[in-house]
Amino acid sequence: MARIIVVTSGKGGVGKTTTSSSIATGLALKGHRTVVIDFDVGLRNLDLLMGCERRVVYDFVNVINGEAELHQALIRDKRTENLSILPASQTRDKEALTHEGVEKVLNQLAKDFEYIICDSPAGIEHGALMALYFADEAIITTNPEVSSVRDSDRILGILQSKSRRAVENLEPVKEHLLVTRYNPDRVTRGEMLNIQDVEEILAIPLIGVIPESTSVLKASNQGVPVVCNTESDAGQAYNDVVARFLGEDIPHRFLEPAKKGFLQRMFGGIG
Amino acid sequence: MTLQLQTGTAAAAFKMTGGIYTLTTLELHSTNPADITNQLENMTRKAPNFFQQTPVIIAFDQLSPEQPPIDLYQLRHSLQQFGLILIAVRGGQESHKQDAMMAGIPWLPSPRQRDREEDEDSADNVETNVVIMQKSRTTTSPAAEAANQTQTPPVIQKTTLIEHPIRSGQQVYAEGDLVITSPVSSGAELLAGGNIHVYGPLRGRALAGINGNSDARIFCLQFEAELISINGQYKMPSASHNSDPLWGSSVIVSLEEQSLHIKKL
Ligand SMILES: Nc1ncnc2c1ncn2[C@@H]1O[C@H](COP(=O)(O)OP(=O)(O)OP(=O)(O)O)[C@@H](O)[C@H]1O
Ligand SMILES: [Mg+2]
Repeated sequence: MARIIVVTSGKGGVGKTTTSSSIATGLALKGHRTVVIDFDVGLRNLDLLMGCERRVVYDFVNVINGEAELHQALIRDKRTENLSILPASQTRDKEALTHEGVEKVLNQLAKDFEYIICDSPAGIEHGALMALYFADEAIITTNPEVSSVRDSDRILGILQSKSRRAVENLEPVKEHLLVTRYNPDRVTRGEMLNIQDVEEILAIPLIGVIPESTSVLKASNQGVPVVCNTESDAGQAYNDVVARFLGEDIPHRFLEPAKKGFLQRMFGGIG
Repeated sequence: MTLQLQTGTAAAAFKMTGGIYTLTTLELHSTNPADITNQLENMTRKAPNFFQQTPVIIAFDQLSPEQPPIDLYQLRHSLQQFGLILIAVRGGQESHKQDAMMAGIPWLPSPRQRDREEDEDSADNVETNVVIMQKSRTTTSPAAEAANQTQTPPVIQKTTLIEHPIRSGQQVYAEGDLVITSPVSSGAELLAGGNIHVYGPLRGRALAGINGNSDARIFCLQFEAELISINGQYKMPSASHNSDPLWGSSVIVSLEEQSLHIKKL
């Protein structure tokens, strides 16, 4: 049985697309047949982060509307075996995602893939509801600040009442907390919530902490998911998340401020 | 019958009163949007202006469970197009209640037997006028309460137990006592006719004794509430939590002589 995983947050710009691209790539690198779907109809971001924007011919909405076959719209990742991308349309609005249409596409994908990653748009409107409705698991992407935590809490409430699993009274959606853009220095200075605060408020299991890192922007400019950059802190953190998702027990890292050398202390830290 | 709710301030900006209103209720027999729209169209065509700005309640009590679920946003929208304003939904299954909560529409329990008999007189008439007793957030004078007690046998209030977290944006209503064994997030709201117990952090709003019960109490293991209220008297603890020695501890909240008392448990 394919597992459907939604990456969601409520709040915008917290790192959902970054996370979707890295987790999908990480799962594929570990040999799992994985597809990642862009539910952010109207914006189209995922294909940029995955470096396949020039290869988009048909999209998710074309498939839903019967204007293209699923296999015509799916893009096979060039770097990573086992990985495909279903891009979003830039020209439609989110209402184009119908219940029946999304379900049909997911059912079809479930025949060929082990993991289906759904990159949700921000907000709690139609697009976000569609992205989470069919989910078996949810990666709640949260920045360590009050408004993001509040929105994540809101999304958790929606998962527990509006998802298919809730509506059909099945086993609830499995929830994972992923804290992204974590900056230990700013936490020490009291400018950001610490991990314990976030965990305490949301009360769901923590699957990982991704540090704020310049490597993320670099990776997105190059169109290579940051998980592929195993030298970088964010890349390593995403690799840990994938391993934990697959059941490994790995301690969390990048939680403390980096110990700075003499010169760095003199001239200030770099990101 | 109009009764005043004490606000506790010298020059109150408003007076809170309770009242009994006659409201139009649409008792749903089908959830098919096209059928509903058709009937609304027929109904309003005869008297186009009659329904302008009419508040309505949608009742799910007579809906068979086999009917497919209804989209409340869409229903609210179609009603609006015919001048009807959806102010609350009534009865139905737990899913209806949750949908209403998510759509930010108040939910009312099914009427008691007494009202139901009235309903049956006009069961085949979709546009039924029924009396809604506004019980929530109003208070009754001791005299009226005593009079009530002699008329109707005492009702045994059930306890509502909830074991999952109550998240921001969610609202829970219990006619009797409400017991929550998980955290209550800020932005969540608990309403109970009786006591409220939270075996975890209480970070949202908790309103106990909302039907006029001054003896109701609020208990919680970790007191970080945005608002606490018993029978209409309220406090907003999170506004001044830095100076609050009880912030974060286990407390019991009670109403004594018109003011809220918070004590360490
Ligand atoms: N760990 C990180 N460190 C530094 N920058 C990050 C990190 N994660 C994400 N970002 C940056 O934050 C911005 C938003 O990221 P992303 O597009 O992944 O968020 P999103 O939640 O998908 O946004 P939207 O809600 O608009 O879909 C991007 O510029 C990205 O480079
Ligand atoms: Mg995005």
